[in-house]
Amino acid sequence: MNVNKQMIKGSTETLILTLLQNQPLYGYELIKELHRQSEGVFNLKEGTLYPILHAMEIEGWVESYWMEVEGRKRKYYSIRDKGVEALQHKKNEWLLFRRAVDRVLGEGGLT
Amino acid sequence: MTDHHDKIKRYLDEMCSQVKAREVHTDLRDELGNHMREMMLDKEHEGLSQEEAAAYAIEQMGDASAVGKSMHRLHRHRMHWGLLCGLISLAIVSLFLMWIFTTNVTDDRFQNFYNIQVVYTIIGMMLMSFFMFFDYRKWRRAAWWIYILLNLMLWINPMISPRINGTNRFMTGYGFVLDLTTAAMWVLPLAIGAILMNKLRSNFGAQTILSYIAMVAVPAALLFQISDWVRLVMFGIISLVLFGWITRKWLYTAIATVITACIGLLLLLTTDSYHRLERFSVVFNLEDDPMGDGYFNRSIMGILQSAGWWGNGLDIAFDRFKTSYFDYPGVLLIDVFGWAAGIGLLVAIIWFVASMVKTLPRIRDDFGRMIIVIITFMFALQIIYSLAMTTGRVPILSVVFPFIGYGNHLIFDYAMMGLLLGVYRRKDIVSLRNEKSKQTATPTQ
Repeated sequence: MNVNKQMIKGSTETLILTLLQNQPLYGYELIKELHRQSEGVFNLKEGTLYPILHAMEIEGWVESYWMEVEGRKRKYYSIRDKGVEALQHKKNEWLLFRRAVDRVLGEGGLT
Repeated sequence: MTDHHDKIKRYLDEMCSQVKAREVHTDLRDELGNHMREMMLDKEHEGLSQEEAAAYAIEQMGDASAVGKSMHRLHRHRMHWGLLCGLISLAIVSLFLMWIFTTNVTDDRFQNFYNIQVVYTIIGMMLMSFFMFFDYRKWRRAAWWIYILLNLMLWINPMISPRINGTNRFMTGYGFVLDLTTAAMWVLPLAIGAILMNKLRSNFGAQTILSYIAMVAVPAALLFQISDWVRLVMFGIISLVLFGWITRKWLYTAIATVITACIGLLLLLTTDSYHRLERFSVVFNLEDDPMGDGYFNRSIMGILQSAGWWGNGLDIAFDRFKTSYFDYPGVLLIDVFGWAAGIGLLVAIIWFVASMVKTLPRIRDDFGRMIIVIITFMFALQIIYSLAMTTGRVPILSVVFPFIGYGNHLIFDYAMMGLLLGVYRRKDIVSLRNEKSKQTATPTQ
């Protein structure tokens, strides 16, 4: 099932930060990982990933470094303290949101 | 790496055409290009032809110009409009005060000061634009040359220039006057920092500390020889601050501060500079000394008292002490417009310095951060002391009021501000690839 793009957009940053919390990743790896872990739900246009990553870098949430692996120049991103804080904030926000949605849907008798 | 597939190359060209800052093109090409190539390889493994794989990769990336436009929004040259507006306001205040000075002053010698201030402001603003648009990272390669050149000039100047007011800090030639010690005080910390910052950070030890001490000691000795104590002390303070900021070894910095202070005091007491200390002692007993060194202090305090909230107005003649108003623009302002205007200026200046400090966390490049630290600190130091002198309660020294006071220090003030704005301008464009890629050796799984 396809999920509305607006919904994906709102949570992309949270997911990227979560993945980067485990280990530094480069863009292509990050996309594959997102796709795999979300069982294909997160299938965003890959070009949109990079502006998000770059914006997070300017914001100071992540930092990047280049590494040559098997003759390829890969730009890795790793999370910074400020990113961990931002992630915690986003997670709390999400939990609050999810509880609220669940509650409303629950009352409406969603099975 | 070459973009070996035509379609991918075209895609990257189209994306980059949207990004005006050319400095980031290589990084963007490498990053997105590598992404597409890796995706193509995966697809080719799955059995697609190269052509199909390239088409798939481009399809997955999405609209090239849309990606380019988002990148352009992120990686643009930035202008710090707040600081620029602040600067223009300060320039207007400075020229206005200097205009009041020249129209009210009784001594004919000062009649052209307003015009000269206009010229300094224009030269300063031109230099500021140059330093803002010129890529600050290129100075790094010239650091050694600048350091050597300035030291040579400091060394030679006492032999070729006349002594004025007990120092020979001005280098004159071809009708041009260079305030050499002010140049040294501003530029040498930047050069020393550029040369030694990475060494001090990566290889902190006796050898690097000694290099730093030597590089500071040479110009310090030359400034001492010129007997420009004010610039010498400011250079000493910024060198200590810079050492602390680079190394983050606060204990070492504290010890160095104590040692430097002891050496400075010893030199003051043992050389013929003893009379300089009298200017310090005078602030503690102003009443006992009616016409001596405390004359300026008492004049300023008297003027401040007479000014009241709204000042004495424009119709006052500037005679006696007031003929030195070009060096004490704060006192002039309060005399004419009162304490209210003084408080206004104070608030504006605090806001201005705070804006400079606030740029620091937004700069990621280390060399750029160092420039911001040095320049902001030097401005803050001079501004704080100038404001203190405006109260008349601290020793009157030749510390200038940045941007507002009269003199060719304006040229340096604006040039340094241009350098700071130039760092800010490139904050989202500077690639950190060189430093970072060397630091990381361990590949991730």
